[in-house]
Amino acid sequence: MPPNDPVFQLEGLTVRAGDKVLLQDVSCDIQQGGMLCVIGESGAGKSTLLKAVQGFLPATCRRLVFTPSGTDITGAVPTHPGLPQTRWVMQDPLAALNPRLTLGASIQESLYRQNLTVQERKSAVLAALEDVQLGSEFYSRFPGQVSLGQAQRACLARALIARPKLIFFDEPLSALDALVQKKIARQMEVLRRKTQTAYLVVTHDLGFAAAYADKVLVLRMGQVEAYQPCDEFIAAPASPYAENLIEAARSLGTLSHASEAA
Amino acid sequence: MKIEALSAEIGGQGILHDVSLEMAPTEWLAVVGGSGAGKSTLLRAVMGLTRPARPTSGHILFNGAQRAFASPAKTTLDGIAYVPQSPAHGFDPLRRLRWQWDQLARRKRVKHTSHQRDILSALGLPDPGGSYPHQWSRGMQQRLLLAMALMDAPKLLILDEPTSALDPLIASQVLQETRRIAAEHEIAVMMVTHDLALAARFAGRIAIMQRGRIVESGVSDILLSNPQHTYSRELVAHRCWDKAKPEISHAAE
Repeated sequence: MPPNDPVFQLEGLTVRAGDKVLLQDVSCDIQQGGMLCVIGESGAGKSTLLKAVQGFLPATCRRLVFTPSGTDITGAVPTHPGLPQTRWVMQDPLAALNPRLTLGASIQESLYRQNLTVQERKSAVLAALEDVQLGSEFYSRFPGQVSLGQAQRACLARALIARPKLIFFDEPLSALDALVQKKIARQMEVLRRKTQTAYLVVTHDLGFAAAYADKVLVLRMGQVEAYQPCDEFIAAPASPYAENLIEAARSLGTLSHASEAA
Repeated sequence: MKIEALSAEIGGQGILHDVSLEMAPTEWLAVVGGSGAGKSTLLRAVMGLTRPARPTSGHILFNGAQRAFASPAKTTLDGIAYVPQSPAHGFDPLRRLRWQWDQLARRKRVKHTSHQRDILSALGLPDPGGSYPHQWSRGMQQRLLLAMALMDAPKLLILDEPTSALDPLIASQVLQETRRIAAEHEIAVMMVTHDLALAARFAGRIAIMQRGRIVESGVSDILLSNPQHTYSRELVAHRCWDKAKPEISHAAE
């Protein structure tokens, strides 16, 4: 089980664009090896949260602590450095991978700052591919030659090979088929437990969040609607909006298992 | 509706192989399959479209009459209505909603404005008036698409991936409205989706497609409790989100 010290703490993050408030006073934290799911409809500010935390957008906060790199920010979040020792996995794997590089070459790019020999690098990449259940034949394939699910696995391998302490996932499964989604979700979970990497996952799939997340943060129009441990969220959602969400997921059949357990 | 041994191809590559399906009036059928299984091609063939996939053999009977395949401009949509997967696919963002509604009403030769108003109020929508699509919420836009599909009392309603582009709140709202209205007006519904859990929740019968073939079809409950084909078995086993079992993580370590 994950130890209780948070790797990532965020207090009172606010993002403005002109007069508009995109995110209002968002606070959350993630334990080592833990998983936080950010849920909300489109336009709720989920992706804005990710971008602001990484320093891609001007934002202010009361405090932002990322323990592994000793980052401790108060006030304006600097827009350049981003957080070291973090990685991204994007929604559309084919857009995230360079179509003119083989999967092996793409994954290797995560290692260039470590002084490794060519051989060491290659064996590290092969090990990373094996971790996401891709055989060595994928090393020399191009993104166009593999399925979407395989490409997303390669993205996961690329993120994990750098041994980050925190990975940001932006809707990692929504471009994939239902069956592939479940297999990759399981793979993500297995690797999270094995490497004790913390995950911050933006999703609109409540079923996924209910099955895997430790904590859930629900956003709506830039406001926090609920921030609760996952079990508590399913059993007793903190706001009427969150309750509606759970009701909707149940009626679509995506939340049946978790709801039966509750 | 009846589809008999339908095959289709794109540039010589077979997309559908000998697909046969039957649908009773008022039935809710879900076509489930992964990407590239031929779901959309099947659906486009039902609508009579020949692009991008060209039907090569087989035919479709609807209401006892054989349906012709034609170019989009010539297609008659008698009795078949289509709801695209999201408002972004369904509306012209630069035209007022009223204009789009009226244009469709002209094409479908629907005259009774009182009937049109009834459909809107049944779905809890105001008159579109001079609004543009972006001035309405996505839920309202999607319900308006549904209203437009229902305008001329179709016999068959086609839903294309109703949940994939929508938030669960909107998707559930739209699907439940659809279910109510379909039952009320005795409309058959054909839903294309990749999510078996969703199909199981709404459809009476499920057809599972893989690589252009229907590998298994049957009454939802029976298919779910006793899937025969290996691919269906896998889909059924993975239909719900399931917490990764601790033994899996042990095996990985």
